[in-house]
Amino acid sequence: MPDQHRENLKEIFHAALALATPEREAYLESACNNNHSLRQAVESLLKSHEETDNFVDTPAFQAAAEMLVDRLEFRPGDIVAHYKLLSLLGEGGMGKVYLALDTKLDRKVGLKFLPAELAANQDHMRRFTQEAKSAAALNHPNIAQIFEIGKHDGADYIAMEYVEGETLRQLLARRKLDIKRAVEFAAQVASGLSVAPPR
Amino acid sequence: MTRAPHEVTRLLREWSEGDQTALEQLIPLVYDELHRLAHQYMRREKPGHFLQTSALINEAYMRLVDQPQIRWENRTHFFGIAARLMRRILVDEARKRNSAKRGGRLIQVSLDEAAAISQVQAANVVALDDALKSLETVDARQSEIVELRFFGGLSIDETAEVLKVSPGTVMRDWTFARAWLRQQMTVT
Repeated sequence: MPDQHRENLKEIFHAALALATPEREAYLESACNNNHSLRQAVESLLKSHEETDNFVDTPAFQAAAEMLVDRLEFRPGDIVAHYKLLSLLGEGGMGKVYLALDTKLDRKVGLKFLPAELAANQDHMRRFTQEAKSAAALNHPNIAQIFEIGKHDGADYIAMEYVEGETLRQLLARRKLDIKRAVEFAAQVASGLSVAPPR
Repeated sequence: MTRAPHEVTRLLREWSEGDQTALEQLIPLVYDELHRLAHQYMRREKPGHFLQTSALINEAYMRLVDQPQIRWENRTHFFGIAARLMRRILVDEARKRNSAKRGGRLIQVSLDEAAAISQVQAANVVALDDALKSLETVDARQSEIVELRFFGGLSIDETAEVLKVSPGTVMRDWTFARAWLRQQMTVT
């Protein structure tokens, strides 16, 4: 829209706004002077002005918070403290687990993140820390060792031992076990469970 | 941790004295800090909780700038840059999430799943960014006012200070711009 038209539009818009509705009609009639498109443009803007659901009225972070509500997203290559994330290993009830490289000790670890919505809850945080401490107190070949817990950019994580290979669930999905191997696995699981404190 | 404070302070001063290259060096430094803080804030806040963008920019300012050395003018300059960078951060995020969608339509919120809300807000942010780019071509000051207020969270008075115009002027431009943008965002 050419400059002068826009200036006119602004001027009439503001003047009309300053008037009460009954006077507005008369004003627009004279100010627009049979210019239908101008009249239409002003009326449209006045209507738009009156709408209460204007997106820009609420600060950006409202939209941003809602935009990010469905995830706590890290990507491969992201640096978290002294760890470099390599890939997403899986997602459990308590959060996502990534394969990461401990850049200080040059070894692979599993990094489990507590979801933001849970971290905001005091009880969850207490339980998260308590479980990390309990697990850290254990040392057994069938239990993944806990190395540390930390916080990065507001995200809480547990760094734990990364064990290469399939999970039992994945193995079972692939094929049935013969009895001997099934008993072996069960014994290992039981052994690990035996050192865990009772719930 | 950040080597930034002295550097940002020096660059801010140089920029306010007219050195344009200082601005170019300033931007990545401020961007990194804002990006980091933004994600920190976004993770901490539950959806529906009001978050002060200006508080976040304030925090970035305090971390980055050697305060005793900076005059008030430089602070408002900082807010001007910060708002622009906040826009970049949020719009980048929104476009990534919106990449499957087309067009710049404002979507009415009628769904209540978290994922749907997330998608809707991403689309709205993208629509606003597109509309602002159009606005900028016909009225740069109005576009800047919206940027400062929406992305920077600045009040009318603070915006007036940054742009060196009267609050009355800001109010007028804001009133018009918000009506115009809403119209833009609802057109197919």
